[in-house]
Amino acid sequence: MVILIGILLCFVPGIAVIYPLWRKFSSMSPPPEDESSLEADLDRRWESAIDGLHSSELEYSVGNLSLEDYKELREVHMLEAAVVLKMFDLSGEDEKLLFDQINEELSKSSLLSELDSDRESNRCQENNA
Amino acid sequence: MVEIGHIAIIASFLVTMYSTFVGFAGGMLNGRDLASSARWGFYSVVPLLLVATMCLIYAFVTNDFSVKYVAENSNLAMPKAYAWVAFYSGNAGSLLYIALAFSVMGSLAIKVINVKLPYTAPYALGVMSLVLIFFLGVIVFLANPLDRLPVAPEDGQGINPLLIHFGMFIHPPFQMLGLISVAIPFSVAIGTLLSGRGGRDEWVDQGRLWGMISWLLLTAGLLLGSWWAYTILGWGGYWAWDPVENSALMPWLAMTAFVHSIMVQKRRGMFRMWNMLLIITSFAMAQLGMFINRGGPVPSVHSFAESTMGWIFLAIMAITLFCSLATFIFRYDTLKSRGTLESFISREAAFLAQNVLFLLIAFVTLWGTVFPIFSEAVDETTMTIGQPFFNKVNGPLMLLLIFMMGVGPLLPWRKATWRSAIRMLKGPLLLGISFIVISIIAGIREPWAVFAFGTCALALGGILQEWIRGTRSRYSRGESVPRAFIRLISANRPRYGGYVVHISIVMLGIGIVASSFYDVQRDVVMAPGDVETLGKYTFKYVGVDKEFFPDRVKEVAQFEVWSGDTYVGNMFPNRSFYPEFRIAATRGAIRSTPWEDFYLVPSEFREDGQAVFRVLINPMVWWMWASGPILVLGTILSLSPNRRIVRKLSLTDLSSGRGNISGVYTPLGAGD
Repeated sequence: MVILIGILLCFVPGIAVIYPLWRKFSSMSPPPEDESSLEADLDRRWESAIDGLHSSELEYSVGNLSLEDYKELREVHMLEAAVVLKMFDLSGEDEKLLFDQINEELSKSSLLSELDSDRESNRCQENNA
Repeated sequence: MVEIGHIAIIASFLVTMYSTFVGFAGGMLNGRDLASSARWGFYSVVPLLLVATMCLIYAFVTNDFSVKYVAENSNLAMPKAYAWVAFYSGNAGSLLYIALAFSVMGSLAIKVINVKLPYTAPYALGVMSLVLIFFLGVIVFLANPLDRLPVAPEDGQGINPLLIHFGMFIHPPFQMLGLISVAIPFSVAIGTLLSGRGGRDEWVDQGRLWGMISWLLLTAGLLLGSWWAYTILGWGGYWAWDPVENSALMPWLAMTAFVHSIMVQKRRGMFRMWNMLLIITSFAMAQLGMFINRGGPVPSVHSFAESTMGWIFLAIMAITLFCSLATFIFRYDTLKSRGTLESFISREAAFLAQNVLFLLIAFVTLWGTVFPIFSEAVDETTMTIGQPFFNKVNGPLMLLLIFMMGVGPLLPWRKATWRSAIRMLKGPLLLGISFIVISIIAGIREPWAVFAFGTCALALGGILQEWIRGTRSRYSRGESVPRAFIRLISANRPRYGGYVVHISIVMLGIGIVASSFYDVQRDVVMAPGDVETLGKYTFKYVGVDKEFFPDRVKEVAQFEVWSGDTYVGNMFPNRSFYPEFRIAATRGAIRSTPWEDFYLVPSEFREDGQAVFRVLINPMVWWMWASGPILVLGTILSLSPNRRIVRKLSLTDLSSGRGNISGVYTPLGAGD
């Protein structure tokens, strides 16, 4: 009985290792995308630039960043995004459309315009005082 | 049954060897079928080790003392529920537990990594299999928990009485799993180097994910261990800088540095070499921990499994360290950073400073832990380094760390002007200073304690400031306050999850500082009917009950306790003597409140009816234990992926000629 169970136990890894070699299902499926390809790298850098934009927008909205710092950081991240896009060789029209969308959504999301106007009015009041 | 377990262990050893060679071969030859076969081989180790574990537990439950390990670690008197604890209470069983736990966690990791990093996965699998081979090899050739005795005794030696505690069901599993789980991010990192990658931050997301999981397990293990020591060891403390404790703390420190530093690589493409070195250091320290746990030469009051096997662990640690560093040097050129440190007033600079502090504490702890070995080698006398050294050196460094924890998250990525930095730090600094003043007014005179409370307040102030401002910002857009608060967190989970973890660390810090500087202790000799006082507490020793069990004699003392004029109830500290082991296990009776713990523990019951008790008031220890669940919650929150605020733009699609990007970009905040 013990021998029989032992043999059955050995079948588990045996089947597990032989089956993929026998059926070759991995090599028959299309090769996966290489995580080190330029495209994958640019995807990561793109995501990082967008995260950076979002992060600076959040920092600004919670008051951790001054307007000047925010604008500078925003430019840096935009530049990084632009470099990534350049490397992808998109058409000028596509790039422009993309940046317009990002700008529009960022300003909506951070209420940049509202905050700017609030701060401007505060500054005016301070100056007047 | 036992023989089936034997077969399962040998089969798992052989198939892991297969997975190692075929995994590496699959990676090098780019043979997807080979890699797949190796992967499935690794998966199949899980059921095999489960069978072996079940066989061992079955032997415990059925009191099969013909199995040497069962005879050494249980007896007829042991409650059956403790079969699980007995399973890993000794050296051989704990190795089987580690192998099983690692195979389960490694299988999960490989399943995910194979999807995310398909070309790195075979190498990572190879490294994981190598780690598993070591454990299985030790089990097969040196410490098989299923080995039989030539003659079965009628009863076993019994389980170590100190392990008969509820905490033992969870503390050792977490601790061991935490230590071995460091091997997973390590395997991903080394796999990346071996595959000739790493220069494009491929492994960062997976390194962070498994690094965080490992960090969480290590933290849980440490907290549960402290709680166990506090409640059962009966000395009223929770941390003694014992080598075994230190061995768990060192990898935790290195991993904490890693989980922060990897964020910089993700965000900025910086610290690539540093992160590789950090994860290599973490794994080396985890291995060192296992070495010390397993009868290393460093004296420890609670090394849970004494053996001479520690030297094998040390040798493997040296080999692993050498091979990892050699691989790192070989691939050095691929790890140049993409970004540079633009300013010292930035989050990445704060992370770097904090990393240095973490490593400093880790190396001070390492030096204090291994110093006895050096002292013995030099003049043949074993000199141990005690608590005062660690407190004196690590205490200020830890305070600096808490300060950095308060300041770092407030700084933006890349750079900020001094003006911005001062403005954002103004609130927390003011709060910190206020707390220092309040502490002094409240009568706290110990300078380190005052400074520590101020630093904790600063760290807490920074987090609260950010939450308040963030909520206010959303509130100004028309959301209700609770909704704004919840949405602020849910839209930025990694960030705010980190803050929740920081809050728990502040709670931990407050507990440690208060209980270290302001604990009160007194040893009293009392006869039944005697009344004593300590602080605001008055306690009356009513008497003692003796209970006889097959394996122990238990003496339960009864106290009536008053806090001021208020009667708070009875307390029952007890002490059990195990004649077989000549060990007495004490259980303190603890009345715990957020403000302080009143702790009673029996030291000795005398023949004449008198008894000696140690009575302590430990301020704010409650906060330490309360920080645990918050820390787990914060880590889970931090690990849960952000709802896609910006859907990832499929640049590959764009470049492959689909051209029109309209609709690819999803607006910010759309996921809210």
